Amino acid sequence: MTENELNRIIKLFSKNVFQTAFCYMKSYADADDIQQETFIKLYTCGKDFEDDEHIKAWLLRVTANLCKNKLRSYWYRKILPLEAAVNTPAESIEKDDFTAFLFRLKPKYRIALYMHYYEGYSAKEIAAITDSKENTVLSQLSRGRKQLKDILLKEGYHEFK
Amino acid sequence: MNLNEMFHNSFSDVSPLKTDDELLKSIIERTENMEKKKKIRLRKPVVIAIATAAVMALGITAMAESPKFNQFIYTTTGIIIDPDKIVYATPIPQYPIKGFSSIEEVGTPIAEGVIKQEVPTELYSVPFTEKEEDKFSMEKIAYSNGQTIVTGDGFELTENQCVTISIDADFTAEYHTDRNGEYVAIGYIYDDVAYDIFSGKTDGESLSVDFIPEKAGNYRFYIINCSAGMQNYDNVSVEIK
Repeated sequence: MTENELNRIIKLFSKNVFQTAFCYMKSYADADDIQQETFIKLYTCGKDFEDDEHIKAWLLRVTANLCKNKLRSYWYRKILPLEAAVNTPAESIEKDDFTAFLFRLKPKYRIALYMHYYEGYSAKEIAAITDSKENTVLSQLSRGRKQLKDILLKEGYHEFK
Repeated sequence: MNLNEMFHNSFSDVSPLKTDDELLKSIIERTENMEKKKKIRLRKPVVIAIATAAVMALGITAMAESPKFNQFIYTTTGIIIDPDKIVYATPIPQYPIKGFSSIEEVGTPIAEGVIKQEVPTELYSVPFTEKEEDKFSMEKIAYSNGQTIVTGDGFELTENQCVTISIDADFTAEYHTDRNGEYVAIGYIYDDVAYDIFSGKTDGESLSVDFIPEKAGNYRFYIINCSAGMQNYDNVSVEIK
């Protein structure tokens, strides 16, 4: 991949990659690291892509895998870095912010909801990106919706449909 | 307001910390540094090979003569210990439980419905205590190749209840788990028959596997050390969701 081609793809998808990583990691600093790692993998992988949608799906899949690895890592679970502590959503996001309520869900639920409602992917496409089964994603969407609805209603979002 | 609108209102404000140009610059710089390091590595393969061989020879000699290293090899024969050498586990008879995979088969696909006759070399019942609600765990443990941890008296599960079995490696012991990952086989024992859930390598630091029982009943879980050496775990937990 040439530098110009990488530049073009960054302009198209850098925000999607960052937002997906942020949805997983709940931290701007971690999302920034994951975003950089993802594009380095793209730049060095030497893979042929069919079109821009194929590139986007590949980028989001790599982002999801990197985030899951980081969340699973022993170091990440045992140690909370100072920077992450400063960026804890509960402190940096207003109390009535929808994102803060979304972050109360487990990662698998919030990423399924994010992919569906923000990125516009179907359950089948989310299953391919997150390396899971379509039925699992459908179940995650259903449970995630229910849990999020409960949280929103409890927090006074009565206009929620 | 519906969920689409809420997501769009909320996430449209989430912007990357770096601009696109800064991101491009940092990626180019990092890949160039990686390339430089790669070239240096390629230029010195002979030196590295000789140095590695020398270090390995010295290391093997030193380990063979080290009483600390030998103590971990010899004192674990037949028992499971923690780094302070306190016996936790109670040996249990291998029979009538049947169905364990043989260690040589770890990493190969698991055939559904097949009950095997192999048994692990040593089987130990380890007490698990409920330290958090619905989360049972055990203390630090170290065990050798072929030794098998079985989770105490088992858990009463209902149909389709999700269970997560997790292992966290411990690197504080002197002869510790390999940071590149270790081979394990994880499964469950139902009605005195063992069934595989997972066999393969940990990522070096941890491993989590999920299990959903098809029938209600008492389930015990087992973990077999399938690596050549000892494995140390900081924590082993069974979480029932």
